[in-house]
Amino acid sequence: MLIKGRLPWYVVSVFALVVEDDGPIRRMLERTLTAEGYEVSSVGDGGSALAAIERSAPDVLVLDVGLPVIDGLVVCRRLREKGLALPILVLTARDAVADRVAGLDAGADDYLVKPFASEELLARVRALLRRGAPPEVLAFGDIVFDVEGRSVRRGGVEIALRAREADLLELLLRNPRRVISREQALERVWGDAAAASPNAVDRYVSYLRRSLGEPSVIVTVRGVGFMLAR
Amino acid sequence: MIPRSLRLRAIVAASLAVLVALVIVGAGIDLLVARHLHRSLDRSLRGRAVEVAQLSASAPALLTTPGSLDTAIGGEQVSVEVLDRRGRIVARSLGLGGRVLPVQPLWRAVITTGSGRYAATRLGGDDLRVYVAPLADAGGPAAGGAVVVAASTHDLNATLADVHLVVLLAALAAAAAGAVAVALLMRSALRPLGQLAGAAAEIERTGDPARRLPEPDANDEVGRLARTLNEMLGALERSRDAERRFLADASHELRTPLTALIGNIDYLARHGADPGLVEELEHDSRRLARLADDLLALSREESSPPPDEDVRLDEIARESEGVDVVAPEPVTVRGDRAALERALANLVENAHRHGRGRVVVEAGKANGVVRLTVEDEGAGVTGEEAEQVFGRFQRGRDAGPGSGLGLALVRATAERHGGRAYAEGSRFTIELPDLRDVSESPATTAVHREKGLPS
Repeated sequence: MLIKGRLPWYVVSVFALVVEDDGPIRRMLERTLTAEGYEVSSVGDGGSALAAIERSAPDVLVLDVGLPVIDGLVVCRRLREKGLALPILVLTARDAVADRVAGLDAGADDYLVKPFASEELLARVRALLRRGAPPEVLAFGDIVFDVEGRSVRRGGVEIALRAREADLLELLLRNPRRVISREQALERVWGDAAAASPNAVDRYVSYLRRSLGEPSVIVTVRGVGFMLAR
Repeated sequence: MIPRSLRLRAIVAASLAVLVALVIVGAGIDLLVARHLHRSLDRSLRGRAVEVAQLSASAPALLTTPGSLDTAIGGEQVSVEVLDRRGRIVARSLGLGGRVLPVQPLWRAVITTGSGRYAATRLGGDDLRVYVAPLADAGGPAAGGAVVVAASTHDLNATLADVHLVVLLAALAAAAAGAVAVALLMRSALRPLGQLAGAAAEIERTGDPARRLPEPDANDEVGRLARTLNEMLGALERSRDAERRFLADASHELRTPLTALIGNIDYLARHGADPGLVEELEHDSRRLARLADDLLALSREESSPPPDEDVRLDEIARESEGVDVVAPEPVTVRGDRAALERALANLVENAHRHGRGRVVVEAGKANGVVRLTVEDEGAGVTGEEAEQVFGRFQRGRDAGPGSGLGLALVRATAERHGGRAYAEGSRFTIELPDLRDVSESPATTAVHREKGLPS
């Protein structure tokens, strides 16, 4: 399922980590985010949160402040100390100015006071995902793609690409560790899954492979789609 | 307004007291001086009478010589008249001029009784003191007659009037001095009171509970009053802080079940219901209801009157479900049955939720106290945690479905019954005074604290 709302066209999936000690709230957040198309994983305390972030590098963190043992703000601070820039939305049951300031100062990007409407939670998560300015130049191995100029170089040699090839390459470059399914590619590059047949995707992937030359960096994952790999 | 009137009243009272005291003293002095002066005058008159009597006896001829009776004694003019036995004037001092001393009834009485008499009389607008003495029947024109000696009391009265004036002036001066002294004293004594009133008005105006009254350095009544009032303000501030904290905690705790409930309702509105969601919604609602119940119970527990029914703790213990009960003998306390049942149920629930293994409920009495204990086979709580678990909104590390108020309620119930609640490891105890000791419950509690029982 695709994430609803205004996210950049090339976002195909978002992995959200929920950190909340209260079971019912944790389950509610999981349910709500999953229904919106996020891949969700959840933990109940700060220690597990740090371990899970280390392990699976989520795209966004939904973090409760009042956690047992390791406080949410401490988790925030540790992540920032490590230099991790992932967007963090903190949830707090305290709405005093001092509490909100403490959350932002600890490195959170935004806060939400409990109880909140799911609409607002989702809108804030989307806003956080949009916030990071997309890099102008994307690179994978010796392939360098200039987003603005729609031009690609490999090993310093300029390669001419068709517009669809360039879009497909950008989608793959922006989702470096993910498999892009044919449906996702159609939705993102062609604008509509019904606009062309899945075979069109295979055709353009092979054009792109040919244009980029050897060694090939686009791998076919059987039955799923394509991804970049060396 | 009140300090001013207090000051005025003190001044008036002090002045009146001084005035009354001095008037009494003055009246005493007046009395003494008047008596002294009168006696002294009487002695002079008597002495003169004796002289004239001696003259009449020894030299009767000299008696009638003009001027012989005009001797001044002590600078005071004393008039003398000598009468014969028929009351006719034989001789008289020149000072009298043509006047006759009005002593007719008196001289007759003196001659009849043969003893001298004093009297007061008036002559020509002058107050006189008169002494009439009989003369011996020893020859001479006045034999068997009487001698009348008289002196004006004008000087004496003038002296007394002076004394009156002096005493009165002294009394007024002293009263004025007293008023001034009291006014000064009151002013210095009332100044700190005025400052207290000003500071209290400031507290009333700002409503700032952290403010305190200025404490004067002096250890007098006003200083003690200021200290006592400040202690009172401190106690009020603490209780207000506690209430505010409770409200903040309560609203914080209400947010948790509300967050889940609102989120799940939003989900329901967007995606429709499924059995899992319905179960979640039911769970959220129950949790909210439970929290509301516990908050209400806690506030009731803290404002309820002391319990007054006889309650069998062993019976309550036996009613617990899913536990082993040890209650070999009847154990009765003065208590509130519903509250004690709820307290035990909370302890049992706590043991089931956070503990492990078998749960044993025990009711018994020893050393004048009654104990209701719930023990499981888990690790339990120790040290600081054993104290914290009885606080409000304290939940175990695993954050179970409780409201966080269960053990706070247990403690509130125990304290309302004059007892206490404490935890040692996995053993949670409600300790209450025995029925026969219930009237001395605070003392009982104190004794057991001194014995160092774990808390």
